[in-house]
Amino acid sequence: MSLFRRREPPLPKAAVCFALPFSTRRAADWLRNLGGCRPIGVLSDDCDDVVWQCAAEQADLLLLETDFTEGVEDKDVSARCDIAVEVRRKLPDCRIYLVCEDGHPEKLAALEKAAELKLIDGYCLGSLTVQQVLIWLNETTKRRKEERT
Amino acid sequence: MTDYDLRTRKALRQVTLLEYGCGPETLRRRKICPNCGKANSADRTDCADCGARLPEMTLYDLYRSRHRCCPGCGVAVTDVARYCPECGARLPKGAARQEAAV
Repeated sequence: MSLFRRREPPLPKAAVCFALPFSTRRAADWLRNLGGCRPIGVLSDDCDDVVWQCAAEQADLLLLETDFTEGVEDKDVSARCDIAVEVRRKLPDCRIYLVCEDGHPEKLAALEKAAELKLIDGYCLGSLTVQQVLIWLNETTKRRKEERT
Repeated sequence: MTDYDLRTRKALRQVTLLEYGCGPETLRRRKICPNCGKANSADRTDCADCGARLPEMTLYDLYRSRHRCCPGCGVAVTDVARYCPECGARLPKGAARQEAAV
């Protein structure tokens, strides 16, 4: 074995911030079992907390969950975009994706617009699937490679 | 305020308007179904809910037909305004409110 073996680049750091702390823990565990990234659970979805933790951990991607329940105002698309903007200010290369619950077609226009305006890098509707996460991880890895070259 | 702040603030405003509000950007992309009242996307010809034929007029056209608007930026202005409070453009004298023919 050569001492000068080329090292593999470290796996991307994936910060997960879901609407509730227990779902954040569950999602982080799920990501760790899936492999391909180093998950970080952001238990508070307060804007300052998310920004601080992502910056401290130098996250490569951030998964933010929305909550469209009636009466919940601080977990909608625009509030999550607000967090995305602040995270990008600290980490311009961090990729940000929204995980949204299904059954709210009225939110689609805002989600499309947020992706079009590059406030977020993408979104998914319904439960997070393995395939979707792998696509996002691939995008992140590709982006990191481009930055290095 | 930096260029980044201005750009993102404008982008966020557009997202918020699409989610909740009725600014010109949102109104231009919406048509109201005359049958059930549902707001549809402006590129649709039939209502997504009841299938009724949608009018050509977007919500923005309807809004403009009922208010005196600045020809430059499109915001609604009062009947006595001489300059647009939003963009500062001089408003035409005779462009008082036109009643909608709806």
